[in-house]
Amino acid sequence: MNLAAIGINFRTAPIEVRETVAFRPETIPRALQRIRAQIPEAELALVSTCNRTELYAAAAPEVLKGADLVGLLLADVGAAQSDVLRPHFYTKKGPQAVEHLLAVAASLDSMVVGETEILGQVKQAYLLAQEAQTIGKLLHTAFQGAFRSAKRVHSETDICRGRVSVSSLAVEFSGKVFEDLGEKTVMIVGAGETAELALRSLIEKGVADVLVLNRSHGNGRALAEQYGGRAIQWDLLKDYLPRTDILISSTSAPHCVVHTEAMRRAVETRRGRPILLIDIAVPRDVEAAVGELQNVYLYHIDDLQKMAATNLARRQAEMDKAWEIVREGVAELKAVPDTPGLGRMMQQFDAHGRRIAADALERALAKEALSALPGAAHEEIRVLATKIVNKVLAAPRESMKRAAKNGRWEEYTEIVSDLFGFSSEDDDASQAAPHAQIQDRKDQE
Amino acid sequence: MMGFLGSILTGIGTVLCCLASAFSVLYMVSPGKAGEKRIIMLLSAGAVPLLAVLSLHGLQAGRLPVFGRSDMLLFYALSVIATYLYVALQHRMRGISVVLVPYVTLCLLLGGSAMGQQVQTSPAAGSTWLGLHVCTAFIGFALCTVSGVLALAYVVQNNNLKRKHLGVVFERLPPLESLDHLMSRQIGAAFLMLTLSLAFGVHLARLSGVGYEWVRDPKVMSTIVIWGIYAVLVHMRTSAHRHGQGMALVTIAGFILVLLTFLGIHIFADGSHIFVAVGATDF
Repeated sequence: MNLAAIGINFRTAPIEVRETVAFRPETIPRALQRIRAQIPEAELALVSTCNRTELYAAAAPEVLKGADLVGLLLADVGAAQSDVLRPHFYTKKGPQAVEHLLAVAASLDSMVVGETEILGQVKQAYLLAQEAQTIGKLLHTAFQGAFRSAKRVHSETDICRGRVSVSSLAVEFSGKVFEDLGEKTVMIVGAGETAELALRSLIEKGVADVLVLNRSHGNGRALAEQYGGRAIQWDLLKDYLPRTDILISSTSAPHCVVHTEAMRRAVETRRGRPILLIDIAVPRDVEAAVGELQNVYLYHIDDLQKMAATNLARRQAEMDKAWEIVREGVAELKAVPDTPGLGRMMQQFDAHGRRIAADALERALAKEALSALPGAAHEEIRVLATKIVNKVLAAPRESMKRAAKNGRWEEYTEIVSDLFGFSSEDDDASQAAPHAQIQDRKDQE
Repeated sequence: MMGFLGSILTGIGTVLCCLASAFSVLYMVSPGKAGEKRIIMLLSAGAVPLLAVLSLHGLQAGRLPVFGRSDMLLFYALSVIATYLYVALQHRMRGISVVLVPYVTLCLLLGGSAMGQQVQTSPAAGSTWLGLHVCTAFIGFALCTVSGVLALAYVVQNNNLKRKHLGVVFERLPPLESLDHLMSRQIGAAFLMLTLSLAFGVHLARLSGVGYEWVRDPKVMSTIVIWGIYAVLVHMRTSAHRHGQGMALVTIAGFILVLLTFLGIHIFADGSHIFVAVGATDF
């Protein structure tokens, strides 16, 4: 497959560089059209996330060879900065590029292997490229192959199983203790970064009632305001414990701040309703004996990190299986005929079909009986004619693909060219209208 | 002919339930995405021929098909299946099938083994009051069974969370709070059914003129103990707002008593009350 991929990711570039090259979704179609204006023969798609920005281009090898894809992508950042950014870019071509796309979609190339968000982002990139009309047959095939193999990786391996970050584990435990997080009260003790991340994840899952306890009341209030919660005075911790369902603690206090006795009283008041404590402070904020109380579920940072490491190890153990699926996906895409001249012949078929339809329509609509019809009826007839021609040409097109796959390409080319009257002039006509091909394909679908 | 048809239908229903059991165990031990939908479908499909068998027996005998070990177990198993299907479909409660479905299948197999045995019933077996008494008791036992399994799931999930065992069982079982809420509802419904059953039973005893003879009956006594446990549970949950592990353990105790009473007295001993003489005219 004539595919090239250029880009940067978290391995090749620090965040400062990545954010210079990042694209917001609404700017992607315009960026694609700008690049397309420079290389009209190429199909293009742009994947941009916080961890990567990658441009995928599919075209004839000579087109890809001559194009400076990195330069085209960085056209807006200025020459000086472009030179600084270039060393961070990697380039992959042919099967390597296909494998890379499949691995990215299956999240084998992600910072957190097995995260599922990337598949949605790759799908979005595909849709944005469709919107920009820069996707054609080749990229369509490559992206569909990537989606297929990502789905297989997700369902046939354990690569997505188990959370691997402290904040996501906090959410997972909350979901396993409580039915509806929307009715729960979360208390944040201390204002550490990880605690804030966990709080953000819980809010995303529906938590609405947030209490923030911080030794510095001002900082606590700022955090509370940010998440629509309430700041509580530090010395009111014991009073608020009974009404807290999830407590996330991350103070830098040198001693415990949640004591067993206070928690025992809270548990009695709660009459058996469970309480989840996530202590991510070092040294610990919650006494270890608290975890032994009935209906109290206590997780220290070590527990969470151990679980995250176990899950990550399990995911890593699945990598071989996942890569095997990706390689099968690449092999399937390779099996899609990539014979030199096949694409051109398909374009000749398109051009031939359009010509036949256009000639027939021109003659038919010139006749008195049809010329009197309204514009909408003319459009209907045009669509009908295109569909008929496409249907008629579908069988020879498929035969040519099969011939290319079975090594009988040469034998068929001559016969088909002779039968349909294809000549080198047709090439120019067929190259002229890639958008029309896309439209035709849509009509066929 | 009816007997042959009954055996065939029972066989089909039991085989489908066996398959559902196998899938429910697989669902709990395999980390793949084996869906519980399949279990629900198999169980529903199995329930249809079993219901037909029960209806045939009822039509044939001209009374409710709840007498004799076979019909009794079939009726009980179907009540448990119906309760489970309600819980699984209405409340999307997954994971409890691993205990419940094999248990139901075991009941069916026990019932199947007693099929064809001669059932002697009193002439009062056709009475509406007796029908209501037995039906409400069995439905109550079925609800106790499901609440017991929910309580068991609660204890297991509590243990997983406490000991940080994050395996497949942890993933499959529902949140603690969901188990607790649903357990609460099942207990309430079971208590209602057992209360109705006792009330119908007392009324029936009065009608039959056995006086207070029923007070010495072990079956009545054990049912009253179960009723007492469930009364305490209902009070603890509704008035005292108690939840959690303690409540789950009491629910399991109630379920064990149900097993002893139902399986012990109804199935392995003579299922009748001591004051009922077969062939007696009034009961």
